[in-house]
Amino acid sequence: MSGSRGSMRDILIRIDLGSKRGTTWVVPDEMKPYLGGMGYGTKILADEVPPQTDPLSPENKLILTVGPLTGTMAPMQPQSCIVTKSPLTGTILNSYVGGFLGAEIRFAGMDGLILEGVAQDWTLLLIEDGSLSFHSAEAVMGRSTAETESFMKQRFGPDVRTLSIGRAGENAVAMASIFSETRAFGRGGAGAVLGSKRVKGIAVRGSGAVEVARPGEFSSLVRENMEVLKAACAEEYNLVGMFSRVGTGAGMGLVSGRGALATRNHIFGSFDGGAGIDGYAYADKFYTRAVACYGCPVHCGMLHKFTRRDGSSSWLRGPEYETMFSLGSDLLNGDPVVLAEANQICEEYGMDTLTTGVTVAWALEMGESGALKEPGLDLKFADPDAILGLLRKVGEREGIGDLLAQGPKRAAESAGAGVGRAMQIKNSGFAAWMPRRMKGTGLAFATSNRGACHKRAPIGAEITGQIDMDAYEGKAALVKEIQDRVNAIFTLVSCRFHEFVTPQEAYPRFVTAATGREISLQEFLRVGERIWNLERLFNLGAGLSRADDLLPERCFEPIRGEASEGAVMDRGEFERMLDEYYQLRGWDEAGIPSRQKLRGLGIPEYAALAKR
Amino acid sequence: MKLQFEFLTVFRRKTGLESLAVALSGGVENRPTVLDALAALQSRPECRELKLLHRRRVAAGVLVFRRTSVGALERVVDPEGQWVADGEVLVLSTAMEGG
Repeated sequence: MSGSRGSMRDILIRIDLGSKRGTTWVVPDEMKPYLGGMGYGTKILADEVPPQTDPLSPENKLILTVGPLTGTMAPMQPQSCIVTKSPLTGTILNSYVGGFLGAEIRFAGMDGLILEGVAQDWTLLLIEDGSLSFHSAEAVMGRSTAETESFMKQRFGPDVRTLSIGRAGENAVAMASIFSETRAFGRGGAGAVLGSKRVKGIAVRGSGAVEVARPGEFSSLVRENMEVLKAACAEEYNLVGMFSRVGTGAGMGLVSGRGALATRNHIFGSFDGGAGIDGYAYADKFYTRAVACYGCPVHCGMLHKFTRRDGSSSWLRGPEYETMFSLGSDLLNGDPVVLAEANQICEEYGMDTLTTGVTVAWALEMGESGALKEPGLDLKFADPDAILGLLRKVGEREGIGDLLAQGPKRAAESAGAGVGRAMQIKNSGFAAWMPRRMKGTGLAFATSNRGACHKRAPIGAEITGQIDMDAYEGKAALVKEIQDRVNAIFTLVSCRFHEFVTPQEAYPRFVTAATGREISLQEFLRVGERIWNLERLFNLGAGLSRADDLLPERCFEPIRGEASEGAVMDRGEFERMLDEYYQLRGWDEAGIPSRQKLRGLGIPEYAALAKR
Repeated sequence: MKLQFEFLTVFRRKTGLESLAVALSGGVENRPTVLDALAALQSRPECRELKLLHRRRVAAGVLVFRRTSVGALERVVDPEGQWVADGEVLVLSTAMEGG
């Protein structure tokens, strides 16, 4: 059966904030091969924003998109995607959020919106089906993300879905994130971009339905996929099943045992206090309730009720695994209450727990070495007052927080201290994994277009020993394959965990059934590679080069501690991996895509983007 | 021969133990495999609920590592074909920790 119009509406709302005008923008045919989601966002940014644009200027744009499966009955498709130029990295950024916002955007009858220019006054936007209205944000200036969203729900109705920034976004903190009902567009500083446009929050309400092109075929695929997910959730030791029962942070034992749990600013590879801050520890110590995103049978979100150090009671969704590293082991913080409070401060101010935690880790090391001081704070690892105090100062840009608010690399360069100890790529903080132990993950971090990205890295294969984590051989090809595949999947804005149990062959079948567009697996994966190259061209045009694909100095020094003592990334081997990676990508030794490669991907016209 | 099993998070939680010594004998030519060792572990009263084996194979999602002399964990990729030695330490985990 066919005849429906398909899930993509091919409409984005273009919002000129300066003139308070919204116009319907019909997606041109040449954009359709990008499928949706990050594909649409990447092409729009590449077409409309010159790579050297100041990320916090009115000329930057913020593109919020959904994908062909968002809002449909397909499981684990709740996310929405933001593409913009990052104030943290200076690169093109794509960042994702779960929850319910994505589906609501689709119910409102559009595939996303494009924010342009800058508002004259701080603004809240309300998008209801086809209509757009502008409202003063005066009442919520300086307020937390949760307070802002609560205000919008009171003002516009409890059924709106929202996103907002906190004080970090208002204060142009480079790692400011955008929150959507406790979930975050975490990476890359999209919160600062929204703040630069004087938008404090957006509320969306939709009453429409989402159609698919081939309902019968689509329903069969949904049933098939649900069976796979249900079986995974029921399995005793299945990864997704365990996410379902205890969240993403069920345990740090294996990572620590494998000597790959970054501890004390990546000096050590294991953390004795890990068992005190993992998912089981939270489930044991605090009342816990699982929460799900739209259409997700896994419900990996864990809500915890905990008592703060001052005796007051509070709720927190999380911490997630990555935060257990960045605000836990990396800071030598084994106290689950301090970790929960640290997580909560990041949520309140609207900051990425990863890059913020990594920057704080660098500051604590510099504090202990005497290179950095801050009145009233004793900068030491494991010190709750130092950890929580620094986080607040970053959000406020107060004192040393103003330095740290630039991100780890720029803070180190400004301080003239410990640049090689700032654990970052392109100024984006490392995720929880140690390149010295996991060589493929090291290459993936280094070559990531958005910097130190853990979503497109061979983490599972390396940490579980499916492949030799210490080996260099074969890692370049593996990293390229993962980057291209995940990029393709992110055109659907599919949850990353969905792919853990769903075969890749299912994705083009879903696209065809949802949109009516026939696409083979080969073409689907080529979409991912095309986007990867387009991002690369943008980054080259923005001034990045091979020098930005290198690991910080600490990665070439041995790890300390049991299980990984002496593990190191060999500089020569790393350079060889990088050369091989460039070669496999069809790039020259400087990392510039060849004309032949761009022609093969159908994007020769973008070669000029790389020229500065 | 005697082996030591160490339990990481989910197994530690299910058994209430950090480690357990297991005695075993037999196997092909009196050389037990890692699978034999897991079967011996599974027969211990403390471990009956672990469901480590499924149809004489290691259950999906169960990961087995050897602890090396320097304390590192090395994956046992073929539990049916790899031997165990007296005094060896095997570590049980799942892909959960770190995914």
